[in-house]
Amino acid sequence: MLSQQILNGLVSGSVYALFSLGFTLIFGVQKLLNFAHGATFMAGAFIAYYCTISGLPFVMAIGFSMLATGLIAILIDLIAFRTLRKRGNAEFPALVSSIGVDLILVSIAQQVSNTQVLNFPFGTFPIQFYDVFGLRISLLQIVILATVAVLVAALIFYLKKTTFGRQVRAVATNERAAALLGVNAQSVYLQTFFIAGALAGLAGVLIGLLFNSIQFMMGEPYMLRAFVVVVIGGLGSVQGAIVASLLLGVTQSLAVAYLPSGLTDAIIFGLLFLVLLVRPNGLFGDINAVAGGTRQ
Amino acid sequence: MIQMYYAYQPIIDFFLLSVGFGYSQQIALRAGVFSIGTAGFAALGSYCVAILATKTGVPIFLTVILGTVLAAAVGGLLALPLARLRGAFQAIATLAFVQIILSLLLYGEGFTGGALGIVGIPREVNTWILLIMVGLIMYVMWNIGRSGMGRVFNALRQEESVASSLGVNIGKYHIIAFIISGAIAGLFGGLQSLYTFQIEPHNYGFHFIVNMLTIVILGGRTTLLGPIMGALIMAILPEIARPLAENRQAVNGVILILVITFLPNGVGDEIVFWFRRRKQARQQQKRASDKEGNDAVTSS
Amino acid sequence: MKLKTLMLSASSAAAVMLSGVAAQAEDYKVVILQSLTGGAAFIGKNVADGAVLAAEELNEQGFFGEGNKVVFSVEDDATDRTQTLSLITRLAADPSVLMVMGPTSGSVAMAGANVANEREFPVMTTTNSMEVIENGPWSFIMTQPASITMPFIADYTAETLGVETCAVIGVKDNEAYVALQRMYEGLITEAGVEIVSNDGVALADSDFSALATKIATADQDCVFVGTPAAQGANIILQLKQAGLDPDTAILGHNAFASPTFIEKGGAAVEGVYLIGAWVPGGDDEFSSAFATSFEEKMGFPADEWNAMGYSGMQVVAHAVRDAVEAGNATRDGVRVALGEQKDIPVVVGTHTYSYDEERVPFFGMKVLQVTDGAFAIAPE
Repeated sequence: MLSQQILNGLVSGSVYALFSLGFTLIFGVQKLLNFAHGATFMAGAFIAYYCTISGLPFVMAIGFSMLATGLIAILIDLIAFRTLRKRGNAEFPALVSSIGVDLILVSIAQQVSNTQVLNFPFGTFPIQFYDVFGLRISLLQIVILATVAVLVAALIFYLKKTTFGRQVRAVATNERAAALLGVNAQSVYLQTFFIAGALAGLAGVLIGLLFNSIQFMMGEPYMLRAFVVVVIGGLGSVQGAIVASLLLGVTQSLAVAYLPSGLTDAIIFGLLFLVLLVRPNGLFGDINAVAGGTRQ
Repeated sequence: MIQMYYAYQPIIDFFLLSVGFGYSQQIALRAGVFSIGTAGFAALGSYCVAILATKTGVPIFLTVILGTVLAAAVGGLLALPLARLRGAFQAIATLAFVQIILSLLLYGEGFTGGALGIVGIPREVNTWILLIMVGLIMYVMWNIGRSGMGRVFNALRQEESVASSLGVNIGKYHIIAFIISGAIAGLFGGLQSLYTFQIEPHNYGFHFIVNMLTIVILGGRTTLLGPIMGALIMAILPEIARPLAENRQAVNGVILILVITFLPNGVGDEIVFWFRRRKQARQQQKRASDKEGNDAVTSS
Repeated sequence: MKLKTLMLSASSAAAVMLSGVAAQAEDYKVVILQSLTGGAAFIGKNVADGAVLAAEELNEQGFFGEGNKVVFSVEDDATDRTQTLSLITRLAADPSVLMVMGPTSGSVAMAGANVANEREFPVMTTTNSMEVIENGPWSFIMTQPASITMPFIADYTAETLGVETCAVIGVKDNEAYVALQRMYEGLITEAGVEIVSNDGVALADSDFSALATKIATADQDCVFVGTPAAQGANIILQLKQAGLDPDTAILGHNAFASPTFIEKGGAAVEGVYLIGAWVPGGDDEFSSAFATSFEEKMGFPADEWNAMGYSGMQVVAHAVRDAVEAGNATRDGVRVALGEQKDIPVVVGTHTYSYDEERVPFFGMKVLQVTDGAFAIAPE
């Protein structure tokens, strides 16, 4: 059972990673906490659901959903963040304006779905199980692990090896200096928001598919987890977020399996607390990211 | 007027409770501590009062004092390890603290009533008591703002490294901020228990955290007027938007975005700043001397 | 605007109080106050939809006599206790409102009961918590407490199925579900069934992979899933996917009696036992007629909470009419009449609804089983 539970945890954790990457990316570049990220994630699941039931092939539904959530994220930047950013000192005001966006998106989803819990129709994805070394693994779990691995690798390559990635890091380190060097900060912001949104949208679709549940409030528990992951991993750190996501997934799985029920949350958050005491900047946090970002 | 009060009394009372919690949240932010522990402190205070008031014969006013002291003490203890953390890391650590408190409240069924919470708490608190308590806290906050401590808090918020180089013991002031924040939240948590008849862990969850942050950021993070304006907006918003039925939440969202975009310091702070600027402009007109000093951004 | 009318009604309230004369009206105002949004929306919205349909039909039929009707309005407290308290206080200040059908459940129901008793204003909360009744004479509950419903499924577990060991999965953060689960645990333990594991999930959870693996790899004769319908279907689906022994009996309580359960669970929930007050589609003339008209109006089939709302409104309407006929169309008159309702035709349970001397509602339950993708009466 132990190895089966670790596998469960890795699958859940890999989807947390997808969700948290966008969140940490926006934080890394903008030093802003985007509270509407959970709603973007939820929107991804919703859009793919409605595309699927109106007859679009599932793969196209996913593509369309990622495109749409990417655009939603850009819209969030334009509506909620842009004006505030220009004034400076946006950390706290941006929190409120993104809560505002969150309320709007959640309210729309609630009305569209009539408060019902939705799920992708049976057969959207073939249900098939394999026995590997006594482990029970589904085709869907394999596909999810593979997709997340490929996307994460692509994102890291993009950030580290391409011009865009260098621009992103330049803006993240010092926006003014980057602008002086001819980097168009606006375009960097729009691209990071698009990527963050599309990843969150995909995470929403995968979670909706994996756990048969799409619901207007589904973003909230994932926001809570994303906060944990992003901080444990070190704010703005892509690798940190991935490691922390997988750690969280596995810890949760094992806690459910082996610890007294009802105390899981207390233990997980207790551990989180301890990690922070030992490593005040998270597991992979560097002092600069913090000094630059978290105080007004 | 009396009938207005009669029909809207709960809104007024909840507004006053929110103002109280708002000051707890504000004092932390004001000292440069990104704490969201207010929810946890409030839960401690309110459960302390609720348990003592329903299961023991401890006099009511004493339960409130005990709740306040407990929350303040936990605030102080929490501050010791947290003083090492900054910014969002503090926020997450305090979030973890709140989650731990909540899950223990859910878990300790025999003692805390689990998900059902505690029922049958006597209603001992009315609008007047709340008004007096809010007034008291405002008086305390006003004095802190004018004291040396208030200036240190402002310095910590604005430029911690400078404050540190001037020999300020940052850890000590963060601990003080946590204790005050805990005491205020504990006090109002206890009052809330004695007002709403019944409490459950859910009351102090994510929703509470988001609400308090919104109140303080929307109202203003530095002035006395801040939490009042924030709580006022958050209390009135659901009421004026009520005819919009199911679109209400979306409209609330739009209003939050508009207000914070055009008044990024928060409504209360912007009002106070405007009066200050006007006052300053007048003084400068009167005498273009070099007397006016540098503490233009001190508290109200 | 709304605010203005509210102020007017508030000032007229004062006028009435001053002159000491109760309002006389041909229109009887009942407010359906439920959690249409927020955490309890999955109950409140559905109850409100059912209740509105009932009120419309009753008005159409001229239930209250020539020229009289129930003017009903729907209010939403967003599952927020603050809003519940302020809404009920405000409604209590409007003398034309006879009673409130609501609030929904959990803390909003308790808060509603408290303020209702304080302001002497009848409320019929959707919850099944005895605490609401014990709070005072003005607060009623609409659904049967766990002590009435759970013996149906507990007896079935222990006696009819004869299981020896059971794994229990419940909701940890909603008091109504916790109460049902505790009652079930107590009853089956008493009957000699051993509870081998006990897990709580949160209402917002959807990832049950770890839990499913844990239970699927353990050994037990039955699994009791005490969650809302959609979540329960999902848990059972994940249990099956994790390889749960197909011979394990799966049981649930009345929350499962919803078309959602079968729709979400598909083949995985085949054979699941549950109790239901509502048999989807209806099981007599009145309930089938309700099922048809509800689906016509809303575009989706009625579930247990829709049926409860519809039934609750029948009871409210009878109470209001009785109070009127007794010449006492006041809040006190309605409160007294409500507590005396007996054998009111409803669409749930054994088709009649009664309050006993302690104002505890009774309308019966049935043990059902999912058979060929539909709910059917379970074999004895």
